[in-house]
Amino acid sequence: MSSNVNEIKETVREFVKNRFLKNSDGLELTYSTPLISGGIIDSILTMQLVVFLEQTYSFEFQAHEVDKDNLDTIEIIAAFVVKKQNG
Amino acid sequence: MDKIEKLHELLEVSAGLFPDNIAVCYLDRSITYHQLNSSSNLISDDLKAIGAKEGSRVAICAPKSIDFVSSIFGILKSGAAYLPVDYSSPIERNKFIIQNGEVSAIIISKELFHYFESEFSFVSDLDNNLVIAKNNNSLSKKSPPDLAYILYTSGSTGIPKGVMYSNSAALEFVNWSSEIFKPSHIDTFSSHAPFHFDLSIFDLFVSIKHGAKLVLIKEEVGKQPLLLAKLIAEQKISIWYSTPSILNMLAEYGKMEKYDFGNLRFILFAGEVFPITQFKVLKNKVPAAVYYNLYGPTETNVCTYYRLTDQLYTQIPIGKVCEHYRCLIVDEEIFIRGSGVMLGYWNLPEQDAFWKDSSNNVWYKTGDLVDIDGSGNYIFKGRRDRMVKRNGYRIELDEIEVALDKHDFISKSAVLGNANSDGQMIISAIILLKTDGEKSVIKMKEYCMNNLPSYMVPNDIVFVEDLPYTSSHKVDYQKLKLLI
Repeated sequence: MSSNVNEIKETVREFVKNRFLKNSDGLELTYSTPLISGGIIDSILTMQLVVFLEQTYSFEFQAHEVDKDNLDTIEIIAAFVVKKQNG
Repeated sequence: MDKIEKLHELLEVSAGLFPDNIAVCYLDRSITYHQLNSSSNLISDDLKAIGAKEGSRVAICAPKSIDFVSSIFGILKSGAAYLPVDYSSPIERNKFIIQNGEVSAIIISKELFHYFESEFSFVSDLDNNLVIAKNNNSLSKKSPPDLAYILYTSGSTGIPKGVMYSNSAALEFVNWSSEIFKPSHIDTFSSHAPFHFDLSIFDLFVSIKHGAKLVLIKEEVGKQPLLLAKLIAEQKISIWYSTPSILNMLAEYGKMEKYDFGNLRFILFAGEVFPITQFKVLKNKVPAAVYYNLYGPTETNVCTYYRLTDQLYTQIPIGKVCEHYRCLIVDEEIFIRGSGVMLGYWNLPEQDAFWKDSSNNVWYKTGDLVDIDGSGNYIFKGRRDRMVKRNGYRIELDEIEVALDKHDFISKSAVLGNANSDGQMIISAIILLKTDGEKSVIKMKEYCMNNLPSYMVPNDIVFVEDLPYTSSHKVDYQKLKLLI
């Protein structure tokens, strides 16, 4: 089932906020906050995000797709999920 | 054969024995032993022409590449010592290291050269976007005799410190590795660790000594388990060496079941504790490989080792002392002496690093606390000081505090390191802001990314209203641990 891009953004934001920013209220996390280049998620947390996306949206990342170009902001992640679901 | 006395002679001997073997490969490029020997000769000639010689130092600051390897051998052939700098670290830190090292020349990525243009002048281009540049200042400080390389590690004063290694000490380690692992020219070694990290000494010099193939792993691939699993299988790596963190990530997220790892003979790990539950996951995926836990600070390289068996462990031992070393346990702390120990720290007093016994033997004090089990194997217990290991990198928590305390909004910071239930080191920065300081975790992390190497960026940022102090007015870390 494909999901609406805004729903995806909100779901991913909740996940990032609850899992990776637990000691702050997370209010400052926006759709364009850089996650990887901003030091919020390291390589292990990136893989946890990948597993979450694969399970939530039922698709599989190709090895080369786990990359800053597809994962650095919530905006970019949502667009990538939509592309995978339609592709 | 004459006795080899310098690291670069390993290449010269292998180039004679195996001229057409692949020495190094990276992405879709590779270079034979004959070619590597020739290209490093050219670099050596260029460097000698601008004053590199025995007693001087040459820095290299670039991503991994075949030319990086040629440069290392070129520098060593010129008689100088190589000083590898982490190109991905903040530029101010790198400027400090290059200045502190008083290098006569640098070999640097073209896109970084402009940061150094006031100090260095362009001499020539190498392939793959590297530039050789000469220091404009005249330098007088001579290296100690036989210096081969300087590796900078985290320093508790906030300033990185350079560990100096001689050719002869490095060769002790290389020769010990040959005895234990008996590699040959048909092996394929991984080069996962960056060249400024001491695990790279094994990769570079043991593989070259035996005429084997060295597969350089791009930094981005090195921390991306799906690509890494594919690379290990496709490149038919037979001898793997990395930190446990990487192996753990590979086993957990690499989808290893998709590939055949039948070529992997040895899996060596070092740099931190490998939690036993995570080790088992890896062992189940690559059951045929032989596993070794190697232990040793940068100052000694590997000094104890342990071959894993099928027995049940609660913790993987660091094993027994290497044949070229002696060790001594003083108040639980492990002291090391022997022919492989570093020469000292560059440009710094020894900082109480050594201890002389009543027979005038000089021991390096590791700061690591150990126990001994029933079979005489050492078990790592922890640190005497505030140094932690994260992804194999050593981090002085005080270096993070010094960087944070320079932030305009921060009144005082206190940094703690604690392993979580998975054995992963979690670094927490507890921050007392100035009255009008902005409480933003995201901006604080961004600041850290810009001012610290990425492996030092704290996992958690916690803002507090007050910090606990001891009676001697120092931050009370024990109390602080209870607060977070």
